Amino acid sequence: MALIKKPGTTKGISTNASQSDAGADPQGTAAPGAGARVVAPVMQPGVILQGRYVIEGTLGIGGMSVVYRGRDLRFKDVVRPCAIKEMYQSAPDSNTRLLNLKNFEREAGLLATLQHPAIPKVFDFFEENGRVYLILELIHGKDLETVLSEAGGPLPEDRVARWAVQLCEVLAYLHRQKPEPIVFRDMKPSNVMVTSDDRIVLIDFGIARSLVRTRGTVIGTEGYSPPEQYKGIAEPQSDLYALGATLHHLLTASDPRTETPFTFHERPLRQLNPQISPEFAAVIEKALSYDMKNRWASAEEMRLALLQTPTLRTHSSGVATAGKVAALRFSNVPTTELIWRFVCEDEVRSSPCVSNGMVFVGCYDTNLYAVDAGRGEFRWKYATEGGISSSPAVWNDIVVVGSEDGAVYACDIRRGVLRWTFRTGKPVRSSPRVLDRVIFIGSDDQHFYAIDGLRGAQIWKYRTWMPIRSSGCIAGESVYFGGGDGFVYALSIKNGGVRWKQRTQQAVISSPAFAENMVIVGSMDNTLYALDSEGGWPVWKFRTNHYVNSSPCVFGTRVFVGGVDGNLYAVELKNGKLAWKYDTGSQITSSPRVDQGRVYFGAADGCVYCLDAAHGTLIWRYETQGPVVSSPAISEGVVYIGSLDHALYALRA
Amino acid sequence: MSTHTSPEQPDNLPPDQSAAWRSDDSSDSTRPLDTRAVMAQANQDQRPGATEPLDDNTLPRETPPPPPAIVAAAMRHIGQIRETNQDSIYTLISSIPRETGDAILGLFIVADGMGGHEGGEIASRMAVSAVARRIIADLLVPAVEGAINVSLQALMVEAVQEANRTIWNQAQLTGSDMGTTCTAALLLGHSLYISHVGDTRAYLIDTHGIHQLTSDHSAVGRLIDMGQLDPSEARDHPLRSHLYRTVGQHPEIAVDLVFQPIGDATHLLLASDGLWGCVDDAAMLRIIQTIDSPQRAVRALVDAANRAGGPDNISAVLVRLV
Repeated sequence: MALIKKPGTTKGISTNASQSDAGADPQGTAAPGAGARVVAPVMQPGVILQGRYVIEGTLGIGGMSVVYRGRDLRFKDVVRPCAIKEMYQSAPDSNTRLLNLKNFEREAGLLATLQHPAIPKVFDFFEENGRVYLILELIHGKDLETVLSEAGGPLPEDRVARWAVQLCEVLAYLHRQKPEPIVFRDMKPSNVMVTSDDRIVLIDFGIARSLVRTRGTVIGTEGYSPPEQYKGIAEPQSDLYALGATLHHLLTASDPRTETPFTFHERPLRQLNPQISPEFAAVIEKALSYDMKNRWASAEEMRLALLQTPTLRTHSSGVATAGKVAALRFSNVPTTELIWRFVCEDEVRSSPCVSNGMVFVGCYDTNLYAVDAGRGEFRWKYATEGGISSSPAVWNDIVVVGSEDGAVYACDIRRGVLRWTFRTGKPVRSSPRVLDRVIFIGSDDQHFYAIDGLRGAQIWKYRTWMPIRSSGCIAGESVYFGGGDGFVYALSIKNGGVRWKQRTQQAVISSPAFAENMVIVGSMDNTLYALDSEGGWPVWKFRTNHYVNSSPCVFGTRVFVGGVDGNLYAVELKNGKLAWKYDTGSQITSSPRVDQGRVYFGAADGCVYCLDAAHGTLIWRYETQGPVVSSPAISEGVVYIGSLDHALYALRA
Repeated sequence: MSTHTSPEQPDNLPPDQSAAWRSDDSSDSTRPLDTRAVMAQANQDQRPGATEPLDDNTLPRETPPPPPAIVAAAMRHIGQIRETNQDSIYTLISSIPRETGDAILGLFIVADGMGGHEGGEIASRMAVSAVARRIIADLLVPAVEGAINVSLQALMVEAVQEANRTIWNQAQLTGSDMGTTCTAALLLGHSLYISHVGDTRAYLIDTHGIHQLTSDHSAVGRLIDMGQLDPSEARDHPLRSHLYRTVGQHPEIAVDLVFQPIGDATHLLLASDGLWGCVDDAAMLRIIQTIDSPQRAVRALVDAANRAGGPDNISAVLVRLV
């Protein structure tokens, strides 16, 4: 086989062969993979065979045969054209030559027994000057590969559907031959001719054969051939797979020979070409099942299924279906149950923290509130001297929060008694993070602090160039945070020494998440970054259409983050590729949380959203009376979240 | 493995207001920074970037880890049957500066060319040079200057796509059918970024064994991945070397990217099919684990392939990571 590496020639790829196949082999002579590099002997026009068939030109040269356009001279008054297929032998060893001759004779014998409008008629078969010839009906038209390349894009569904039905008919005819079905084994666009009246004809029966249930070696054409043919198995269902692959190619213009084999399910038809009807796509995708027994049971069954698709049904009901889908999407969005609502005196921008049966949240009315988690009853509040947008954190028996007044406060969780305060030079909008007894927090005074949680004393501080609104992320020996100066910092938690800093193009107020040795963080340069935690190098970047101020949340193999462009994004952790996005139509600065396979977040449209984490479909949404910039906390089936309508909500998850 | 930290809400202001706070700090709101203003403030306050301990007793400076002892050896051999060597290889090891403890950058490439009339040699050499040039220009030079800002995964993929376009254009001009495999491994710190097209393989070796990181772009390789073919029966499959994806034989190609932290791995191996087709994984592992010097080990790998008949060109790049 010429496809196998030979010294000094090809390694074995034949993407080019696809192009040469297309034009050069209209009558389908080439066994698949037969390299056309060997120069074939070509007869000149004017040569007459058997005193009857005159050569008029060459139609194509394949691996083991040449096809000429010819004329039957026995019809004196009319021009009766024909195709003359001449077998030639290039193989050096006599066994192969004998096998080739047998194959050629078998093709002739096979075709002679068949009678179908989509199969070329055989007129004659003879030997002359030591060569073997087959005289066939000449098909006027183009093969589908040529049709597709001339179209320069996907072919319309109705046209392809009509061909599909015809192809099913001819396959059904072949498969019902007695005593054994005939398996075509090499269905592909270049083996299908379409005539001027849009009738299709199968060409190249070079490897078609009666089904003999022993293992053969002929594979067909890579990209179209089903997996079982690689194991030498060819059943009627194998032709259905190749037919599915052929139709997939025609409808998407995505060449299966250049795609990873057997990946049709990863490239759904409607994803590549949304204009295809779901019904038609479903028929083809069933034919493309990896496992033979999951495909259509027969070509006839597939044909009947095709006839039920909207394009081929006489009465079209496509409009009604579209209307139904639209109605489903916009009416009757499910909501969830409100468990309780706790009203403060100003906006709740802070994100709640649930601990010891209590919910702690800061409010712009300057208070840190403690509320009973079960019933939403007031427990205590502690008044600072500025609004609170920082989100509280609990460590042992204290709750810590930053305030616009520039201080960090620590209160006893039971009664709200002040334990200590730590003053910075500017408002504290970053939120505390606790590890052991150390509290890490940033300030608008451009410093990032490590504070002793017992005494409220500074352990170290690190100065940056701009206010720090981002909150820290502690992993290993490092704490990671973003700066208003556009840098992402990695500091040693022990002494605040900088391990690395990596620049983004704009301010970073998103807070990092850590997973798989990567630091994931959004930037106001519209990008979500995954940085190598060792050196800060960007492993990947994911671009959105606006700021990414929401903080990413890693769950399973995905990163979830909200965009100011209105989308909630699910991005693959490994490579930064989009898994799905959900467009809320309003800004998202709230940070998503994932619990039990569901993503929760708020948006500026006042709604709290709950999406299916796997697919990004809406499960419910709950409307508050003001924008939701707070991020949810989820505990025991309850979602706690603040709203700018001054209230803290507890919703059924 | 993965530490899931729960991110907090950092931005308690809608973004329009966020933009406003930046202009409040008017002295620093323009970029590039006004260095005079910064220095003035720094003198008055303290040096930016400095850490100030509260306690008077001075904390010791963090001692950076020792630099990694990375050694690479590369070898290519014509084999016993072929008349030309169509493989090309490339290795580079550099240190790059970082705030603490400079990091190692390594670039290792193997390309196995195909196509008549010297096409294979030309294509594999063009692939290696195009990939190396892109990575040196967009990563190594900025890294030495201390400012990496490219996405490494995107860079590795684009470098091979660029090589593909270069070869494709050249092949169109000369009417050649040339193409090549290309497997390029970038080592940065303790992570590997491997871009890959074709059937040249990357392996990672640790104390547990040898692990193939890449998937061959052959239908046979795909069937192995899907568990439909046994690797041992695939070794003799007539279509083993039939690739459905190569560099240079199509105007656009998809490039696989493997991101792999090296963890406690001891070696990285890149091998053309002239090596892995002749020497099975266990034999390669034995050679790598028993011969300490990468130079001698890589030689032994090539020798083993030649002893097995050397039907194809043999290329190997062996990197000792510890």
